[in-house]
Amino acid sequence: MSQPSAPRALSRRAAEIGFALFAIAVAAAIMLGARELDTGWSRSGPEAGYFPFRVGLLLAVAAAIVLARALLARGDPPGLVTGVQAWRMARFALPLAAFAVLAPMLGFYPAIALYVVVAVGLVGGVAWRTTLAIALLLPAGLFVVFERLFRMPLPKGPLGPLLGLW
Amino acid sequence: MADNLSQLLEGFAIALSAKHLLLMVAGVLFGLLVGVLPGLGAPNGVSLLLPLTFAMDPVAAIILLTSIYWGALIGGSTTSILFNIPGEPSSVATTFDGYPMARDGKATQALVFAFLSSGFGALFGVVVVTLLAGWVTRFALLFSPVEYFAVFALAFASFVAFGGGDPFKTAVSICLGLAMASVGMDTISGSVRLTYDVPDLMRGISLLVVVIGLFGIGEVLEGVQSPVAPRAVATRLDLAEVGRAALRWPRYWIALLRSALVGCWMGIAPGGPTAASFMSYGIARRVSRNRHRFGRGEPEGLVSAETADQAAGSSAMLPMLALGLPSSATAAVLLGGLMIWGITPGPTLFRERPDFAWGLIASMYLSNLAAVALALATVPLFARLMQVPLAINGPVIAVICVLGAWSVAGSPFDLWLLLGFGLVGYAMKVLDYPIAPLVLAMVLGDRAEDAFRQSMLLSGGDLAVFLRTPLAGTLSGLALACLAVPALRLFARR
Repeated sequence: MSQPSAPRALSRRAAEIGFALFAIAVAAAIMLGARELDTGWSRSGPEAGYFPFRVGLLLAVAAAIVLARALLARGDPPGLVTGVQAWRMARFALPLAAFAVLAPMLGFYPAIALYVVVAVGLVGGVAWRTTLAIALLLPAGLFVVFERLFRMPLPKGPLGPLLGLW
Repeated sequence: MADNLSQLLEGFAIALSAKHLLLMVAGVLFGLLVGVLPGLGAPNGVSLLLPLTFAMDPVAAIILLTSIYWGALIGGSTTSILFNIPGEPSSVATTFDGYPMARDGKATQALVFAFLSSGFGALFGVVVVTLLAGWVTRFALLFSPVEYFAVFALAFASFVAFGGGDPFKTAVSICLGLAMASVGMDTISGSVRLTYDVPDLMRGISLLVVVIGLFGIGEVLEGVQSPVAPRAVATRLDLAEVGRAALRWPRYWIALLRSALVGCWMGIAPGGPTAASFMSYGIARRVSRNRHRFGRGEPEGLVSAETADQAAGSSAMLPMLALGLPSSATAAVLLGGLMIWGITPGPTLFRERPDFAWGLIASMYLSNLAAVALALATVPLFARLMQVPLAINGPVIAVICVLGAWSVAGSPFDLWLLLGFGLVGYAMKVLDYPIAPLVLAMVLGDRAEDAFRQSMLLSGGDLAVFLRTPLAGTLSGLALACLAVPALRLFARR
């Protein structure tokens, strides 16, 4: 996946171990959650916690096997994610997360325009004229689709009334 | 049989209305779009539009959503052939011979072969659905909760055995899906489970949000991490060449029939289009007279992969309707839609809502034909679209995913889930955890658990009930045999 000389941010082995540990943590959470209910039998058959508890147990076992194999594997497989790749992902994911948080508060249409300016123009390095065209046309097109075609109004935030748009 | 045909004719009477035809064309076009764009695929294309169909009449809604599926299945092959980039996981096998053909200057021929084979596979699948529907529903009426649980267990076990992934990673995937299905209200006891006092979890985890996150955001993240510059080998179609290719295509009738059968098998028994296309390609490479040319632009390889892909997609509708058992991630999402529209899948569906079941089956004939024609007509358009840089495509797709997740319930919490599942989906993809079993488990989780608890109630807690009747015993036996397959493979390697 990467050239041998590229600096590694994360080796495949570390990632395998990390995700298996994550799955085991999820399994533990499931089993703890199920233990709050009855995990046994009653006159009406298995109780509410019976099935989730066993699913959690099975998940823990399967993930533990994946973990054990990753720990025991010999050799050094090529890196999974290089530093450059991690940086590219962060630059994409952080504005997206900010957009997802701000959109319900700010209103979807202005938030989309803002997000496009940041993600396409600033991060993507696309020419400003193209960026601004997308920033205007995308929310406008989505407005037609959601508000008019499907009559599914999206939150519009405080900006609309201020501008007297809706 | 004759009964099925008369029902089918009534189905055509329903499907052949102007509104439904328009929905088919719109669905196929949207499907081609999501099939071509690498960040979007059939499962999340359907998920994105599903909330918009909540208010629609179920027949119109299912026609729209399944048409998206056909369009996406066929559209994924365009990019495989022209760009060597599969637009859909199920068209990965199409790249093996499709792209070398295009590179050698036979792009038009490759596209025509791919589309016609897809169309053939789809129609073969629908004919199988038409012929078997009556029989399968009668068979399914014999099912008690015991058989249902055995069949669900078989579905999961066959993913472990034949899904192609690491069996333990597949098991992790299935367990994660089952666990997520049990979040929220327990349908039998009414108690609230696995919510950890988070009020937003009371209504459960939405399947659509999970699918859009895992497939949509996850795929965009993967694309951003290692961008590929798509370069088309050709984007123009020569009409005379289209005609010549269409005349040459029937020569591959043996491969077509064989692959259609493989596809139908993998579509009805859970496996789905991706596994079907790989399996069909693998069989063709073993038995073909031209096997030495496979991977270097052999049309038979392309035909085999494409036919099985689409045959699996369309025949998957049969177990979905008759048993409520989806065999692919997209079918699982469609099944989720059925429940939202208030349609109960299962053998009684054909009796209680014949308009729905047969209207859908009839529409499959029409929309697959439309898909072949539209796919050919839109090649230049979509080839152009592929060349839009990811710096623009990525954020636009991300915005659409966020809006899709929002439209499920209008809850900010769902947007957090979306981002979380985007990261999980990305990790699963790069670490080769299969995602389809997770989606399937999430859809089937509640029903599998209910079937298990009802069986236990019937038997007084005796697990042997799953082996007692011949039908349940056969199904459970097959499930156990499936689980033994990876172990045997491990032994064989030593």
